[in-house]
Amino acid sequence: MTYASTQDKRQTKRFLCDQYFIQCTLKTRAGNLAMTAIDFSKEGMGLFSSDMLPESEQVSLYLSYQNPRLQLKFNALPCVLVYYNITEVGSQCGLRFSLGKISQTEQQALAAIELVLAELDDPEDRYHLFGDD
Amino acid sequence: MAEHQLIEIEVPVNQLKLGMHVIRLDRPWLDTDFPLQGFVIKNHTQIKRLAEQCQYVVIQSTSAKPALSQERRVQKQGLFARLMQKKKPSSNAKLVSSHTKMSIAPPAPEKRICYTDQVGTGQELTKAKITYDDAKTTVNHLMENIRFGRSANVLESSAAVDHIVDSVIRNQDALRWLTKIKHQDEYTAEHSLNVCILSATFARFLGHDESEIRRIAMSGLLHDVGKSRVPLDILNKQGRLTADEINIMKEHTTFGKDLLLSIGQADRIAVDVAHTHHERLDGKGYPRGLRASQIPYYAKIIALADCYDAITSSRCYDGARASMEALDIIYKCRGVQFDQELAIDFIKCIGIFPPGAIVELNTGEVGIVISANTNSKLRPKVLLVRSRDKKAIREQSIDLSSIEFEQKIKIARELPDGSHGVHSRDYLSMGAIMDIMGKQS
Repeated sequence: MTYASTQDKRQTKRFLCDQYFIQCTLKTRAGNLAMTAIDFSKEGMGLFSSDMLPESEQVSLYLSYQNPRLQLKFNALPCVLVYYNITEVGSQCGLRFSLGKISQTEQQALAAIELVLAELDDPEDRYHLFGDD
Repeated sequence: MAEHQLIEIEVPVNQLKLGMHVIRLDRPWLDTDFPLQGFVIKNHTQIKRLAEQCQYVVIQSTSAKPALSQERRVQKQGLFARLMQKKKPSSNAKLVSSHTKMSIAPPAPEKRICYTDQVGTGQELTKAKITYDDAKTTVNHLMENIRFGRSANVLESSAAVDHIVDSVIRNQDALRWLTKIKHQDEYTAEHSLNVCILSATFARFLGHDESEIRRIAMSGLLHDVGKSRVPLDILNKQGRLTADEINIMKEHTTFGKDLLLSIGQADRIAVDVAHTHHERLDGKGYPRGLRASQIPYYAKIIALADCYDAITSSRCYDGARASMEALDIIYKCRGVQFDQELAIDFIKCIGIFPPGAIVELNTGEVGIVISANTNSKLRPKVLLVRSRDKKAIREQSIDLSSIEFEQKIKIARELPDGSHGVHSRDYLSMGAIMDIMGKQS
């Protein structure tokens, strides 16, 4: 069992989320779903849950990012569900933040998170597992 | 003070005693001659009849929690764990059966077998393609036989698994290339086969001996056998499943266990894996919500291969990016959904740049990853297909781990499939890749 929505057209790079994404809840008309933050850019992010993703294109995101250097909370960040991939191992989805509907402050906060993640990014060794390679 | 509670315990039929309250069998009650669905064993005839028709039953017991927690934990770990516990007191090495060689963890570092490829990827691909196609036919045959109620011979799959493991041991990448060719209408069979190949490759990476690799591969092949009992209109449904349909789909784990037990030919490990491969470390998995310590080691291995292949079967991404998306999920869900250490080992096994990934080198040339280097995963063998100015060139393979290139040339970034006119699928078409790699092996 695997089925997916329309093609992912993402062009911008998303960085692997770090451990400081403390809470990540997707709110839809059908209810709330706790998700795991997978990857992130200031324009959108990838999420995963072992539960079934509710059917809804218009969603909002509750996100808490608690890095010692940067503590941010987003309440009901408006997003569009750009794609989803539902398998029996879990639901994967991609969100695009509705930048036109969110404040300048929130956009700057999203950019700040991206900056932190970009600093950690190693394109050659994404998970920092092959240091002695 | 001990807290008393009702608990359920799986008991092998040879350990049944008078007075035990049987609440479930290892098969549907209707398949047996017991008129009541649940009873207290009152005589030895009932034990004999249970032994004739079942391998184990579930009993209900009232007991003290602390005294039974360990026992129950082991019971919930499945048949294999119980077997291991039973074997513990025995110190007679001459009586050790093959089952005692089964692992409950990766081999200790000093006991890990370090495999090296015996043949090049190009050389192995021809055989691998035949192996893959034959195995797919076998899996389809097995699933169809079960679905239509015909006799299913699980042992027929053993030959297919043997050929797969032989190929993986000769070369770790050839069959992995083939797992990247997905056909939506053959998902279930291809997925079973791909999980078999990926788990065999992972078991080789972990340093298991050949017999263990075969056992793990067989468990991978049979992990979703219960799907043959899921109605086809649910299994092949295009679009979202309803909540009810999802619940039916989730039953494939129990169907799989029951089915393998009823056939009576499958390895105990395969039975456990079919039952527990959707359990999660945090206890939120299904069907039983087992805790980390209750999930069999083999199921933890298969869960990783299962997730990787399910995510990479997505039509949202190209093959290479799908691999990264799947590894991202495994990495982020380690310790919660997947075993922490095994997840990291799995990522190391698959590698950041898996075969088929399109990459740009720091020199500007564009290539496609042919195969990984076991000891240098960030420096795989790459087939160069575009020059620095991105023009088509005569294909040339280079080994980035060789001293010649090690310091100077490295992968600068991974490119989306189709970049500069390079499509991994073109190179996955067997003629092309075998021709190119065969000449250069």
